[in-house]
Amino acid sequence: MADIGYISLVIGFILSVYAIAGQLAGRRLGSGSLVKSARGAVLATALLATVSSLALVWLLVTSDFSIKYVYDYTSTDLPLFYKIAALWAGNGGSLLLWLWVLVIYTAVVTYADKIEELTPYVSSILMGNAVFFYFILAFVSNPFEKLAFNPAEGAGMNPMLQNFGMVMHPVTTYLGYVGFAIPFAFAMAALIIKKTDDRWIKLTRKWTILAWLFLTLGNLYGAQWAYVELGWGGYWAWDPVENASFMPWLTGSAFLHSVMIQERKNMLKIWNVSLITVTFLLTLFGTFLVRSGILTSVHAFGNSSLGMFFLVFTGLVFIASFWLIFDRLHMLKETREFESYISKESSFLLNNLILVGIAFTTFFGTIYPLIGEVFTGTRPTVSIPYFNTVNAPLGLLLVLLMGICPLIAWRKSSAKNLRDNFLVPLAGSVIFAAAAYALGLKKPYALLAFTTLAFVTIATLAEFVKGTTVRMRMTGENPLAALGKLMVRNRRRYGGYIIHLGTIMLIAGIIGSQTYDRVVEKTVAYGETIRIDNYEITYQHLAERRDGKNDVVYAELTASKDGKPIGTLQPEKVFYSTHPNPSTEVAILGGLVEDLYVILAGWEKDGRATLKILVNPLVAWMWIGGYVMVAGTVFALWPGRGAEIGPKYVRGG
Amino acid sequence: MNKKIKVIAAIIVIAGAMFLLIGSGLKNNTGSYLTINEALAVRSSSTDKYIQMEGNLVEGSTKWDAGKIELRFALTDGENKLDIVHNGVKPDNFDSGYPIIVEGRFNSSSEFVAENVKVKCPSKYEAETKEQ
Repeated sequence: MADIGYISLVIGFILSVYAIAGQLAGRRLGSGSLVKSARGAVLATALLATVSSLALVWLLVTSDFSIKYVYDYTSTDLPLFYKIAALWAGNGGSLLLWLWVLVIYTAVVTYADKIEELTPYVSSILMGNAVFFYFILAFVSNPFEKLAFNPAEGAGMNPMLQNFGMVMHPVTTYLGYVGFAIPFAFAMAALIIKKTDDRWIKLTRKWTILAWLFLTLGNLYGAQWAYVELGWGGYWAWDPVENASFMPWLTGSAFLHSVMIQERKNMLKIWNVSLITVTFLLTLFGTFLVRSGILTSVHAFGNSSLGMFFLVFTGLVFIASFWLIFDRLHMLKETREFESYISKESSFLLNNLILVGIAFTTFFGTIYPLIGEVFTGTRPTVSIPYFNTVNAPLGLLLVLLMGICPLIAWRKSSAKNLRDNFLVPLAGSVIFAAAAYALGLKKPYALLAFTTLAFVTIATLAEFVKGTTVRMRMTGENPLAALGKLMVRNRRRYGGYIIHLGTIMLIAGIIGSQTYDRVVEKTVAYGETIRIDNYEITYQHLAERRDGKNDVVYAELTASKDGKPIGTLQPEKVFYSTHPNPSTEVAILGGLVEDLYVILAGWEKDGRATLKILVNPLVAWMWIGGYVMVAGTVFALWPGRGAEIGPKYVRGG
Repeated sequence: MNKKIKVIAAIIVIAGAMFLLIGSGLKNNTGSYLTINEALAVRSSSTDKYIQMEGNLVEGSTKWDAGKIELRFALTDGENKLDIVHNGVKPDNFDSGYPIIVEGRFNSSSEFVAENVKVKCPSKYEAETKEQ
């Protein structure tokens, strides 16, 4: 089985080279049969990657420990679920998953064949990526490597990976990462054949939005996984690995917005092509950061030569794509200018600058240790407050723009237009601020941030109300029917607003948990109570239980809030049979307002236990916001009438 | 053309503000990544400097005071030894032989006070062992 998997990789490597050569040569020579055969090769590489992936899954499921990868990441007692998930637990397997997704995407794009003259180039660019991954898998990081002996038992999966997050986070992140290759390939192909209109944007819009959605989910599931599994009470630590998936998300978000300007106004062509290129490069560069171990990170890294390959590949893509952009620059020249700075276009541009700005500050902070080492000899470190102090004001400005943008007209806003649109949200947020202050929201930064969110929420909801009332007046429908039809007829726009509302919830969760989190660490004896704010947590006793092959030690706690019992908590330490040290399982008593988060840090011979207790406000809204964003995206993407874009807003056009 | 200049001017102002933010952010939140040997050399002279270090736990050096929530241990690079004090709990996998990353400052009595203690888990990609 391992041989089948490996041979598939080698044949896949050869066929992917042929797929490129065949399509390009066939196109140049005008040989339809050559193009057709090369397309067959694209399909074949997709099948081969599937065979290879399934072969590895088979080996994992049947626990064939003569294969190093299977030995390294699984054991016989591992649940089937995690045996399959072990496919992406290590370097080789996770790259195989990446390749698998990539070649399937490529086959879909190749056979969908939207524009005959464009497809061979798009397909070849994507296959170029596949060649790289096939090469890495076949010759650098082979997941089918055999051991010299045949162990009876595997080393087991790291306990931290045995979490539902292990299933959701890597898969969604890869679907997002790889997805951005598609719009990138279309952009480059369009430049190669010198078609610089916005067709490539329209054709890839769904791909881009899906890639963005998956990357959003990937980041969120990663945060949630860290929150429930890592046991330090937080969900984001600006670790290089986290930044690696955050940066393409930022530039990808910028791209989603800026393409609207090109679609509507034929502006920002150079910017859009560059933005998608940078986004794609960041996905590669991120992988380099993750796999090379070049930066100090608590995330672990395996094969460090792998990093070099990624760096070289990223460099080649960088040079080739920007050379191409530079060479075609004259075709991308702007034909139009901004007509006013108080217009939707300029607020979009500002939104883009901030998103790219946050990406840049994050990038700079992430690689600063490397730059500093070159110039000073010692390696500087950048701590978490850097990212927070720099990105928080930028983020808040971005949120504000999210509210302002829908209020401003395309082309140019009149003073009356501005007055009419801003009055309600402004008045509403002033009232909100006063009420929140009176109710005890006294921290200036939190008050400012939540007021901004209130402004944006009102402004966004006002769009729904405004559209509905106009429609009611015109059609005489009842409010619900008018709202429903309004949204369905303008799915893209209202889908976008729903995504914005989800973002507001997400950011409310971030602000709440960052500004009003409380923590206490204490060692207590049986029957002793820990107070944190209006919570009382009483330590009943320490107990032990058996969970399959694992031993679990847990503390039995009862919690009450304002004197009323709210439940029991059992924070644990799990002693895995395959792992020498216990790992923490936190206990969370969560709600919409805040989470009571308890960690059992340790215990003494006399039965005393050391507990770390955190109160994290509004965390649940991060996850809820994520699902609202999914709903908005699905709504916007749903095919049919109403999913097309609005009219062009070009003077005389 | 006039508008174009204004737009460019606005972009420059924003970019400038961003660089100021980065500058001040870096000024206040950077430290040095030192080897244990380098840290020993500077310990009396740089009490306020934020330092990050990596080393292996000296066997038998761990002292845990549950009542005070105070963890004391020593890190070594193979030759030199440095005593660390951490007012917090032990992270998972603390004594399983993986390298340990500490972040913090030297205090006036030349003790290294670690704000964060993390364990680096070398064998498994994406095996996040993050604790603070």
